[in-house]
Amino acid sequence: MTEPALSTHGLGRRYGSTWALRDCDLEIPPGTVTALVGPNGAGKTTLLQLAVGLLAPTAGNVRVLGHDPYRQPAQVLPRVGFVAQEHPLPRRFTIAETLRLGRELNPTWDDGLAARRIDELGLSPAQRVGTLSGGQQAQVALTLALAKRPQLLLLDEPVASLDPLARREFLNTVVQAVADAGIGVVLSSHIVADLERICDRLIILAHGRTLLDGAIDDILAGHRVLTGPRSSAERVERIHDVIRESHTERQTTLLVRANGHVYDAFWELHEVDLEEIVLAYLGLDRAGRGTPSGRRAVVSR
Amino acid sequence: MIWVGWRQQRTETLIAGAVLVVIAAIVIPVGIHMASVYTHEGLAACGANAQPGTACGLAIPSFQIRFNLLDILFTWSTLLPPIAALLFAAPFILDLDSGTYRLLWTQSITRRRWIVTKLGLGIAATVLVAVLLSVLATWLRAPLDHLNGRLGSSTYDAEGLVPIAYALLALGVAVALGAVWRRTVPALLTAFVLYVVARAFVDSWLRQRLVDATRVTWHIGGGGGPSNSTLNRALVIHQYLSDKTGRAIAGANEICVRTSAGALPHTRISGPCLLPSAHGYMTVVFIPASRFWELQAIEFGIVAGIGALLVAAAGWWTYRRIA
Repeated sequence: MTEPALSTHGLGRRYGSTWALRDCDLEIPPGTVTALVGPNGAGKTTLLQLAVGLLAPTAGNVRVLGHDPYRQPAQVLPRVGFVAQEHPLPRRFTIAETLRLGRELNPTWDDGLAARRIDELGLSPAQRVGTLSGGQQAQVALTLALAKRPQLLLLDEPVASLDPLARREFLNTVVQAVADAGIGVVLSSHIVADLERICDRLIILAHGRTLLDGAIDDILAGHRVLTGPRSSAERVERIHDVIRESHTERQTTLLVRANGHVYDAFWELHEVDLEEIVLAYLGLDRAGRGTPSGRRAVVSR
Repeated sequence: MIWVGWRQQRTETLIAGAVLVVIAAIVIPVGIHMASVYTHEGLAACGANAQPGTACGLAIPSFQIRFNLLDILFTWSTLLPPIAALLFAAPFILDLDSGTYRLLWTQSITRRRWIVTKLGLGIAATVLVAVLLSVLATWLRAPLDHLNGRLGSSTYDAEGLVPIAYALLALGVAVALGAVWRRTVPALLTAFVLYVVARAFVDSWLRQRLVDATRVTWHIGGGGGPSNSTLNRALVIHQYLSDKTGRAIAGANEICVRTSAGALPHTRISGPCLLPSAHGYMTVVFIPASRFWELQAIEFGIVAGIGALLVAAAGWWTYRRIA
């Protein structure tokens, strides 16, 4: 089965006159861990809610594991684990009752897995959800999603409200689950740190549009920082996409998406890390230039 | 989903159950006491046709005064079914308010199933509480109803089908507001205010227009006309001095007329009083006690129908509009 885990075609969603997501074309292969990155309001939550059928598209379509999540929830919901932003749980429930909720509402529920994970977290089934820390609640919500035995896990800002330690533990759980079960994951985040460690694909969204979509290895290999004496970027631009250029009095620095190798003795080449690439693309968007091809953000210092 | 829905409604159900138990514990002894006084004083045999001066004529007013407080309490007790309804509307709104619907709708069940289960459990609990309160009121008030009829507002609103209808109306208003607003406390408070307004409208305007009232005109000097006890047990809409055809005589003070005619209890005299001429006629417009169930059925149909429509609208809105 090479059916994509998630694919969208011209997908758009409008609230009133504002497009939260627009012309979104994506194809996420099964079994990959994809990070959906962008600032707040970029359309990440909208995309994930469309993917899990909480929202109906205004334009285009979305397919999850081959089905329309809004129109065919019975084909999609049992195969998808979803943790919404702020990982909402009924606060009056105990952990045991929360697991029973999962058992009552999911035919594919794995009670052993759920109980084992709660045990590993050092939690007692008698504890009330409302008394748990944010990190623990996130872990319980993740347990609920994993014990469905999903083929695809959708996590909306799962670590945004967690402290660094809880964030690391949460992501470790995800990595472990993925390794154990071979399931695909799409997780949205506005925090780039840690993503490189657990994700193999990256999608950058801003203002409802896709700025970049690819395997993280390819993205890292394809982007370089060029530094050289102060000059215009014109020559480089003819071959490569300049994502960001910045100038000091003496020096020019370019972040480029290289089309092939960069052979130019004029420039000194550096590798660039993921966070910087993401920031460059988001800066590009902030400059209001839309999609990256042949356009760039100019930063002067 | 039924277990989940029940679990989310458990606290509300326990609160409602505890309140019912407390009410029953207070009211049942009072009811037994009242029934025993009623039998002991032989009021059952009196019927409502007590002539002044007879034993019955003395015993009935004394009985009514003795248990007058109960009547006042009953006016307030008509608020209980709608309050229970607001309580049972809360679990539905809370899921939308707190965002847990995103969790529940993304398990393997559909959103439709969630909506049907949650609203269904809310309706079931509301109706159950309203039925229990209505049965309790009907049992408790049996002696008073025997004397006064069942069309007085504190009786009519507490007995029969109508309390169930009003509970459903309150539930409908609350879940509809909650579905759109998704804020529990403001939605419930607003629903309560709207409910009271709707209720006042029915009491003061709509109810008397639901069935065709009986109109009787009679010559004051010549007797005839409905008996005191008939009017006592009826829902009297108007009573006034009139000419022979039943047209009101301008300037005649209705309250005085009632007093001088001696027809109605609970009269208050204020302002100048125009005594009826011996040649005058009296007209009364009323709904007789025998039409209690007819009136109840029509009112139930309208009010419960609106309540059901509002619940359905809340379900539809939630299904279509919320993400």
